[in-house]
Amino acid sequence: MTELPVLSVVVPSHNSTGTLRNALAAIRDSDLGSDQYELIVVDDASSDASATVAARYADKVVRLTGCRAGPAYSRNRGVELARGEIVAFVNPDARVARGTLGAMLLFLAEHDNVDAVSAIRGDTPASTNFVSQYWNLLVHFGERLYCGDSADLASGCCAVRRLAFTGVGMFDEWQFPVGNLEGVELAQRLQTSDREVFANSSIQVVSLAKWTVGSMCREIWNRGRMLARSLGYERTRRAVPSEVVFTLSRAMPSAFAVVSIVALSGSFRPATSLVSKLTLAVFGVLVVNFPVYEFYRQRRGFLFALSALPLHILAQAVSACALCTGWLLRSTIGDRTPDAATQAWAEIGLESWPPVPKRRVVDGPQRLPTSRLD
Amino acid sequence: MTDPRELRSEDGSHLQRRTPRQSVIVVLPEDHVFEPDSIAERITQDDEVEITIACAGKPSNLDALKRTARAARFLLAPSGMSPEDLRELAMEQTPGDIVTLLDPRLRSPWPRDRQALT
Repeated sequence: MTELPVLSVVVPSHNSTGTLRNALAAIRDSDLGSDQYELIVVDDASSDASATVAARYADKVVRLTGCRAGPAYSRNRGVELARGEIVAFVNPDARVARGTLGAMLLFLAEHDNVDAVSAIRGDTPASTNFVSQYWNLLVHFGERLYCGDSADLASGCCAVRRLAFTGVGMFDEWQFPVGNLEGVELAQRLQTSDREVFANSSIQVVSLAKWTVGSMCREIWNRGRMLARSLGYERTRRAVPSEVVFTLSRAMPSAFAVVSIVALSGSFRPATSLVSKLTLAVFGVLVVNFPVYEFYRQRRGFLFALSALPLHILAQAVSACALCTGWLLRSTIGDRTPDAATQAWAEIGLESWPPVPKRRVVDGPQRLPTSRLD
Repeated sequence: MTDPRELRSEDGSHLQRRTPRQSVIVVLPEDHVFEPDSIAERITQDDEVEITIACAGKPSNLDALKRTARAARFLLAPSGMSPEDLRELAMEQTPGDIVTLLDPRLRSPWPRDRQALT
């Protein structure tokens, strides 16, 4: 039997008491013995009782004060305290199954060539409202389609060898104060350092988040804009096609082509009514998105797939606008950087708590985290 | 006297720490039998760490523990309080930035922590 290394589970949290209790209880309910892992919760300047809730389950609670610094920063602070050979990152709105952590640990123990393994989103979320069902299935569709090698290191639930993680400079807390794309960027960095990242479709987690149309559009907007601005769309597309923005945008070029052809044909026939043109355009979008709708039909039935149509068109439109905005910002202003005060403190090298976000060293020796807190 | 771990702005209003405050919470459930010396040995190795020992009810060898762990703060909760509630209560009263919770019900992967609570 394979001997499993000790695991450090790091959970970042910001005002997430609504789901944190469930997420941590599920980790504690894991089939790993408590002597096989430690649970570290990093509370990112919450104004609610996240730290207190965390204390019910965690071995270590880190309280960050001041302004919210983001999940990448929080996870890095957790890793600086971690003592396990493998580090697992679990989101506060993800519920692991009893065997999830053990399966990730076993996978890494059995595959020396793989440095990071990622679970994928299960097809049934905890929330039953329509938008949550739609969004969760979309993420599941993308992650399932592109699982295997060359995948996103999904930040919902993944595990990485600690030395590999610190060796490539940890999460980029300088560039990613919000959003979930730090996993995409990290996976790409691991891959360019000849390390393998694997998304394992047999390991799944349940999303506990409740989505509304507004929160979903905000998420797509933030992800799309940051993806195009901070990473460069094409560069990331080659490395990590499972990101949900790709799932949304992969059909866009062909959809635009179909719509353009329809519009062009329509312009030569002035008698054609607007309704006919719109019908043709919607038909075109339906055709190119057929795999997604077919997937919805298989999982939730025909009516669900039909109801998802307008929401999917809206999501694609927001995604397209976000990507264009990101490209524009990248071309005109450049990469996102922290505010001037943070840059100044980082330049001085001020030692403070919470620490000033660290700028990642590019093309040079990677800075390893200090072990003074061990 | 000024704490060298603290930074103060020029007008003296804003205070920021150089290093995190570290705390250890030792959770002692009502029915837990412990060895005071081993706990004291684990928690008194670093004098910069603030220690809280949270007990539900009054454990039989609490007085011995009070004698050996003089620097610790004792939080005596009513008898019958669950370990989870005890952890929560202790957390609310602990000011640390990094709080380590030692709980005999959860067998730690690290031998030093494990020995302290047996």
